[in-house]
Amino acid sequence: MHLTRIEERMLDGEEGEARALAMKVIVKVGEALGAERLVEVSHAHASGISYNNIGEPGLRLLRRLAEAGGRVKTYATVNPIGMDADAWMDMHVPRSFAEKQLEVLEALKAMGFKLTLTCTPYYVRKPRLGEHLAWGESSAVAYANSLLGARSNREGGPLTIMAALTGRTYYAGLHLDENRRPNLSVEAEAPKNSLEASLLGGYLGKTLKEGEIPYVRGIKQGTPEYWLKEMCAAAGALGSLALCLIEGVSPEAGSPPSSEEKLSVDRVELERLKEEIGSSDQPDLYFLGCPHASLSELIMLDRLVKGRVKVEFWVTLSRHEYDQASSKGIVRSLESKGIRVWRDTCPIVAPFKSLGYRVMATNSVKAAFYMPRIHGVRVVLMSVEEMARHAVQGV
Amino acid sequence: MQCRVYKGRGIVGGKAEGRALVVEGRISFLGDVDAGTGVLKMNGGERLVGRILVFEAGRGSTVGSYIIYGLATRGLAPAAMVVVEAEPIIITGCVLAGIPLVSGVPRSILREVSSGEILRVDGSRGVVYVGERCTDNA
Repeated sequence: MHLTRIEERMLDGEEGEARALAMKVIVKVGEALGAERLVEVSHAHASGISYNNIGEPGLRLLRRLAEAGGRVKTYATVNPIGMDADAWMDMHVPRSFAEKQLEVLEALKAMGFKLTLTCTPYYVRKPRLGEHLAWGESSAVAYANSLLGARSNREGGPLTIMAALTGRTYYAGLHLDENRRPNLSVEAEAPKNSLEASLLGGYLGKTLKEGEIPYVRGIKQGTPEYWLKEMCAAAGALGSLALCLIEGVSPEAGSPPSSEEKLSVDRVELERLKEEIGSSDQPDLYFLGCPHASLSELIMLDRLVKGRVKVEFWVTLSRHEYDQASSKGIVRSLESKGIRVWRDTCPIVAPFKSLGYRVMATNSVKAAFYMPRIHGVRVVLMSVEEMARHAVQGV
Repeated sequence: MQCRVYKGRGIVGGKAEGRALVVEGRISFLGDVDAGTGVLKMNGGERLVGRILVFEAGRGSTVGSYIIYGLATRGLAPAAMVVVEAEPIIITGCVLAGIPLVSGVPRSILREVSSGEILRVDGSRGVVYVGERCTDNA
């Protein structure tokens, strides 16, 4: 592999032990994947920082890197954790867990990571067309590639830490022009709400093979951003889709592929997927915020929920969006209706089992995919409009 | 006994010797390995410590890299790993943990080497020697 003089210096330990170890990981992985060089990244987003997920081994490594003087070399943000970092007691998160989680945050903070604690780093800092990123969090990777035209592979959690410490990743996969061209045409029916968009993404993730890049027709221009966010998240969760070129939406959509291969997706297939992953039980928790909700989703929810909710209702989002919503009085309005607004976390990464919920309603196919697998919770899929109505009616 | 040698690519340097633990498929270190005890939950539940783990490739969660690192810090890790396919989870874990790693050995190794056989691994040169008296000069 060809390294620049600066990269050689890092590898040789001239910028400290932590950066040398991080560089070694990136180079070894890059070599194995056939990369001939590295690429500078303008933004690293670290996934896998919930103590629930990385446990003692992950904490130990982060602490060691921090103690060895590790410092980020690029703008670096981090994914959600297992609790609201301030309000964890209100969430009934066990103290033993909270203390470990806070130790993880201390190590990350010492290394210079911005504690954004969100799976929506693009709301905090929106990447530009063509920017090179090293992002973990499959939903954010699919969003950045598909909707913004920025470039990131689906990096694993540990690798995102190493990329942050070196400001580099290996130059392969979706960083290269030739790997970003569509090779499959998809005809879709225009989704009518965020749940349908999420189901469409889930269907594509599930159906497409590794290396297939779809060119999707049928999504209307002006489709709300959060519908597309749900679509990207589901595509990344039910499969390994990291780039989806949407006609009229994706900055890099260009022209459809010349190949004959074509996939048509209609409502019947989406309905089948909904039945396959969702249940029809009575929810004891309504949930919006997978991926983390935006300010505009909060405003919408506030408008839709007409009265006090009779069943627990959670919204999860980043501090970045929370602060804006708070200053506009939206958080107070939602809370006055009985809706809990949590920052920094979500049901997937929180120690959810200990909270005692059994059936969760959500508009997110990604959440519906993970909740039964990780926490043994059943999921009912609903549009945001349905959730708002049912939660107030108590059915 | 005839000496058998498998050549691959040296990913993480270092030499190791130990008894083989052969798994024909892929291993998810998050799920297939008990991180607390270092016991492999497949193949009848053997301990990884000191073994030369020979398997197809890693799979599943990238937290697996941290698990490998964690096993090493607690003295529960394999002495070396030999894989058919190089893949980021295992590479990252072995680099962080300093566990010698050879990748790209022929798939036939999974059938031809039995668990319990003595292996010597040279992680720098990417070579695996099978048999007690088998060395570079054999």
